[in-house]
Amino acid sequence: MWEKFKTATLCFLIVSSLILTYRLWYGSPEYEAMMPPLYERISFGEAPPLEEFLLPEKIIYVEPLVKEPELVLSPEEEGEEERKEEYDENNTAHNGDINSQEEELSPRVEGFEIYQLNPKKDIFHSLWEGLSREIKESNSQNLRFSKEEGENQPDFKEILNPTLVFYFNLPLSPQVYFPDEESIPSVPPIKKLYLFLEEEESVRGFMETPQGDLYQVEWDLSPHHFLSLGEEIKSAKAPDGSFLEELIEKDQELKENLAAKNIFMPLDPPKASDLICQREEMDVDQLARAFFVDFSVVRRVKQMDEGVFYTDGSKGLRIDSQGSIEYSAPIEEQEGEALTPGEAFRRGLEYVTVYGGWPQDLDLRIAEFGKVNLEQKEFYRLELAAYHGGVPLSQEFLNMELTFDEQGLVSYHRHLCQVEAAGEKGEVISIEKALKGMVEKLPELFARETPRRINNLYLAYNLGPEDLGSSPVEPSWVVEIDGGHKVYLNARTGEPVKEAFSRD
Amino acid sequence: MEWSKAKNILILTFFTLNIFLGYSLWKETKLLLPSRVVTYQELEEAQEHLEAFNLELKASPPRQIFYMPLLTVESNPIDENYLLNNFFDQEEDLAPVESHGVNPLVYRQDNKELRLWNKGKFEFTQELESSPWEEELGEGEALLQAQEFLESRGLFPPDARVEDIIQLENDRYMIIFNQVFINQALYGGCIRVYVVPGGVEKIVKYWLDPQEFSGEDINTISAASALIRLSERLGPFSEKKEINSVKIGYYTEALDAQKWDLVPVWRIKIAGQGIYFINAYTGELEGNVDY
Repeated sequence: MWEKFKTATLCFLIVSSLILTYRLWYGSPEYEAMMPPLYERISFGEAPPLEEFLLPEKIIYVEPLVKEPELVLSPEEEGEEERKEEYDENNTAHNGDINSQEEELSPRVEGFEIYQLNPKKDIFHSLWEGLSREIKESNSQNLRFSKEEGENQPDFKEILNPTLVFYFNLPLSPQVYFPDEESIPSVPPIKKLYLFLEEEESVRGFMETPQGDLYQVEWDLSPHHFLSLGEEIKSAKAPDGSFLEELIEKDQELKENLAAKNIFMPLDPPKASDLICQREEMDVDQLARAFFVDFSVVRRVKQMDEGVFYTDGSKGLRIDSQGSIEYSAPIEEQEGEALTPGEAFRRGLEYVTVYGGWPQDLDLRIAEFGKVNLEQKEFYRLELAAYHGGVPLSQEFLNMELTFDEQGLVSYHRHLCQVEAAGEKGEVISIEKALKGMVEKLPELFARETPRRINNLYLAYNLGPEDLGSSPVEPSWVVEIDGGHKVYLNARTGEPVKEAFSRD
Repeated sequence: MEWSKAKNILILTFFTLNIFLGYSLWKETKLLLPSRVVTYQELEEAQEHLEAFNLELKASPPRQIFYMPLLTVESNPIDENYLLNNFFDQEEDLAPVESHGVNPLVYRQDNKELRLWNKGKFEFTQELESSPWEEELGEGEALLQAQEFLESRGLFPPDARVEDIIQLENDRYMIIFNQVFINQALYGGCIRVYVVPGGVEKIVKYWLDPQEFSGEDINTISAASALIRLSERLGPFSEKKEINSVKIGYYTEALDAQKWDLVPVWRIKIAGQGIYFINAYTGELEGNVDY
């Protein structure tokens, strides 16, 4: 029995020594079998509905006040009229005189009733639905457009019919707005669309691209639906807009220094409160996990300015002490099918949800979307601007920008803040006062002989004089003039706050 | 009876052999922190790959695949007054050459210069007069001089370890001291001492303050993989190059930061080319030095 036990022990020891020798000699058969990284799907809340981003920024309805010729003649004039008719019959050599008479007798535009509509109004959505339907039903036969040479902006004084003007934050392009509708003709991206609602079976108009190119449009669509909506607008509210050029025309000093065409402005200056801007609070670690697939290999660097930098050796994420986020990844070789503009736009919005989410007290709207080239490769770039209570916050201090392709993000910049009103809404100065202040306080801008052209004018929030952890934000009138010049005027005092140049 | 005795002897022999093998295996898996071991066959494959890139492996790279966490370090602020007292004659007035927020801050006196960086790095240089009677300098003598120079000025940290002695020119050596934290080399923190027959002519010191290992233990890529990744990154060489050192440790560039994590790296030295640091998690090139 004892011998059998010894034999069994010896056998066990021989076998185990062989196994141990094998393990030592050959190592593990699972050579470098890396554990697959456990990617945690991270999301910072829900994205707003896609439709919200596919709405125009605003719609303007312009009703011209047309004066019909009145033929009330005095007895002497009646006699003259008879003689003239007699003369006309006998002498056709003075056609020019007659034509000028006819011109005087044709209807004239004496003024405008202007209605500004924003997405809060139901009628706004009815107008947009009407336009969307027409775009979807359009084809190259019923929608024709041709490029206008020069800067021939449409002249509203010549338009006797109501006009609709659609303004788009995200330039209207069928590939982005209606990616499933393949029959829509390819049109240049539209920043502004003018539709003159003549009572015929077609509509004339203009479209303006983000670069300022103008196209004349002829569209075989019935204007009756839009005209009936126009009647609804008129019955629902009083006119609340005017043309900036009319205001400039009335003041000699402004007229000598400024010019504008087709710039709509509110009749009454809006009210706005001051804001307090605080660092955007976010779970920084959670955010970093969203950017790196395998977070276990990511290292953290706490910088001297209290900013934090994360990197896995190739990608880098920096969150500075003000909460501003910068991310960059190396550009990879192209793989897979390129994104269509519609897919790219939707993916860009998803990235915002995944990488920090949508702020609660700010609205993010599209400021720019298009293709860019980096290292001879094509990417999509999406830029968002922040709005509070419908008023934009100057992009010079708050913005979000993403660059990506089918393989993912290559850069991401996010500088947003948490805002709260610093008090009740207060009055802002009139546009007239703001423009006069600008002409008076910035004479170097108006040193040239010809007036400077205003391209845009709007109210925006801008960072106040202090730049601390909690920063005051004040409303400003922003005047965009020719040469890409932007002037910020304090909307309470009219004092010039700063000047900037737009990237265009 | 004889057979029974033979069995007893065999049992004793195999028992001893098993204890030895078991200990060796345990040492490899636990004491040296590896998780797995690369086979000789895999090393041979890596060598063949390197040869295709005109690289010859002269060193014996570790066969282990390690489990290593990140290492958290803090910057080591410079004691400016201590250095000024150490290197300069304090009888004379001493002021930085430029003092308006410049980085590095530069002090000069006679033939000496001290540069101080915000991130905790300093560089001291002095011009030495050469004498025709000076003895030839050897490696051992250079190391001794470097160590004495640092110790005499209280600049030799207890966690320093000689990493390399490189002959730059005739009679001119660079001695590299690396930082060590719990048996792991920190290739980011180092002291480089340049020695000539007349003495020490230059010191560059960037020393870190290691805090703790952080995060989870993650298996690294093998030395063989790191070598392959590096050769692919550098591309084929036109002439034969020798790889004469492959080691694992932690690396960082000199950062102007408060606190940060160091990643494990494979330190690969190619003769006449430089030293390369390959991220031992991802295989990416983290940095390189050309000495």
